[in-house]
Amino acid sequence: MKDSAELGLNKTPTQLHPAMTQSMVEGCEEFPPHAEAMAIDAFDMRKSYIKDSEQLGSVPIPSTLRGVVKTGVQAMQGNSPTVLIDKLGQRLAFERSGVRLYDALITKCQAAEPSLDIGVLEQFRNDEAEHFALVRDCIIAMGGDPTAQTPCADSSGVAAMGLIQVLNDPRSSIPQCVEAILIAELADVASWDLLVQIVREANLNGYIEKFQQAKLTEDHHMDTIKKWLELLTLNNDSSAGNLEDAASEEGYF
Amino acid sequence: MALNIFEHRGLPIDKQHLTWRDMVQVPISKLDDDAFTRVMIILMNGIELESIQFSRACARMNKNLQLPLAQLRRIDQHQATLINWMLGADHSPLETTIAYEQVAIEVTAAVAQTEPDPYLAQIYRFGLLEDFDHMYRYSALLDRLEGKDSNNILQSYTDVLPGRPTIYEHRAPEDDLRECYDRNKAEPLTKMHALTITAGEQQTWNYYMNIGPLFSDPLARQLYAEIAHIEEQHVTQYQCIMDPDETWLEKWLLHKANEVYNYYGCVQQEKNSRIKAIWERFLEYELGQFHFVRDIFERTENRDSQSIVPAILPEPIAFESQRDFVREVLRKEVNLRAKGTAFVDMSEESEASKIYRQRINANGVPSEIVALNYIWNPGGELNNPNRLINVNPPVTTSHLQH
Ligand SMILES: [Fe+2]
Ligand SMILES: [Fe+2]
Ligand SMILES: [Fe+2]
Ligand SMILES: [Fe+2]
Ligand SMILES: [Fe+2]
Repeated sequence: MKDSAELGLNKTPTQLHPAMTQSMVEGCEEFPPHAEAMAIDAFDMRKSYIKDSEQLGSVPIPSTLRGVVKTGVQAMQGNSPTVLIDKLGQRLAFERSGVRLYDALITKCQAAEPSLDIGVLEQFRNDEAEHFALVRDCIIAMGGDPTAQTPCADSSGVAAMGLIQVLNDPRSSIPQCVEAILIAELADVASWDLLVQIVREANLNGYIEKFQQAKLTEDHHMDTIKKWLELLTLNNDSSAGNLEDAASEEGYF
Repeated sequence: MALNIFEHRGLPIDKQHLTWRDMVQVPISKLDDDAFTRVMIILMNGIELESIQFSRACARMNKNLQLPLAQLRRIDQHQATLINWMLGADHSPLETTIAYEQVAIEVTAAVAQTEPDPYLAQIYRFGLLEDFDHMYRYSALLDRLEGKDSNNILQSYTDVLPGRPTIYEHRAPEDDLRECYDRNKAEPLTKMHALTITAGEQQTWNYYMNIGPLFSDPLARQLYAEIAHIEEQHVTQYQCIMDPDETWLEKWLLHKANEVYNYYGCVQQEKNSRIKAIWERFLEYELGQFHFVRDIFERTENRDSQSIVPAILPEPIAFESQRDFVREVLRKEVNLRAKGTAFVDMSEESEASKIYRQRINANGVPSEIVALNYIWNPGGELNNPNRLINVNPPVTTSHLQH
């Protein structure tokens, strides 16, 4: 597997086919667009669906808030428990998927040379697993069911599908995979930040510090991955301007 | 150079084995492979799926053929898997859709020009202009929904222009029926064409029915609903062409001959040596399968299979850009409509189809909505320096000219 794409084989540029492309553009003059019926336009059509829509689903609220009281919450302040449960469910799902993203990257690195520091990747992977366990314990302590899929878990799962596709494609390069992981880590950082604020608002005192710690770990993940991407991408040989990936060959990690 | 199907016996069917590893190979490159490599892959997947569909129907009606049908159907299953899995996962479903319509346009246009029967050639030209319009509508969707240029898939071989507007393609069922060829008089090429185009259309229908629900955008969901409906009409139209008086075994033999015919065309024209090797392998497979069916046919029906399939198969379908032909058809025949099994000017269109359309289009027409003022431009409509940067932002109806 090569780390940087070879030049010259790509068939998508229109400049490879100047005559055919010119003909396509000219065709637009002879055969212009014509509206046959425009009772409604795209905006109105989409608006009608948005207005009529139901949600992705509902938040599975624990039947009793007994668990919540035990963990030291007097009453859910600020946000409704719905938001808390939904966001916890989302974090749980995303951290669990994060483990799988790292699994895929570790597989790729183990299978191909050159590779990243697999020890670090395994550490990050285990951090994601720990975060998953942390959120699971929090949900259980609140009387929630950590096996439920909440609406925000569902939507962020949809958003992450592209990352899963990139990381598991045998043809994707290590830098492309690192970039996909970076997207996940950027989301991780922002999401833990938000979650800390949510548990603070909810007076979930037993978890504020733990979640802050998780946030710091995610900061470290994000910084490391971002740095790796820079090393893998930036041209070390600044004079040559060649497109070979120097960083990967020298084994920086 | 054409192939002598009776001289080449191919690989015996008991030697036609594939492992999972054989079936799941490194896919083609969406970026680096030629668009016609993808066209052939999609077409051949359709041919294999048609073979499987036919085989199942045949087995339901012929107890005594169930075992040999099941044996060959299993090999078709492996072939279809290998071929379809050659498409990489970096094709979004909508990009693959663009490729499917490219297959429909380029293959149907090639067939329309070599079809010996003038009525059937007219049918192909008629269907061609409809799939041609689908390309335009889907390209608008790809550009406006995903921000991508359909020409990255088409590689400038195929136009992105309005054809017979999709809004006029929906017809009452009676206007989708066509006359068939006469099995005793039709040229072998006519039979290959009918099977090939029917195969392509049925897999396109199947594909749209499966991926339509994968889209979150309601406009995309409606557009797939609308165009899948046309693809069902196209299958209805094209399958009429084949003579229903052909016996089951005769049809089976023709299906196998058609697989040989098309694999041979791919072997002749594929430039990627890795993919060509797959076509060569499967050509050997199909020749083996053809002779397996031929034995059953001759034993059961007591007639020479050369009365059905000629020793020398016709020239293969050309896999190349048919731009000039398509535009010529567009100029002359865009206003044709179907009335029963005949083609008429739009002024004489059947009342049944007009009423049908009024009903189905009553709440708006997605193919019109999605492509409003859409003009293809290299790199997408946003890349046109002569237009405003903000092309077609969401607007309310009041801003539209009616
Ligand atoms: Fe994480
Ligand atoms: Fe992380
Ligand atoms: Fe086959
Ligand atoms: Fe179509
Ligand atoms: Fe079609």
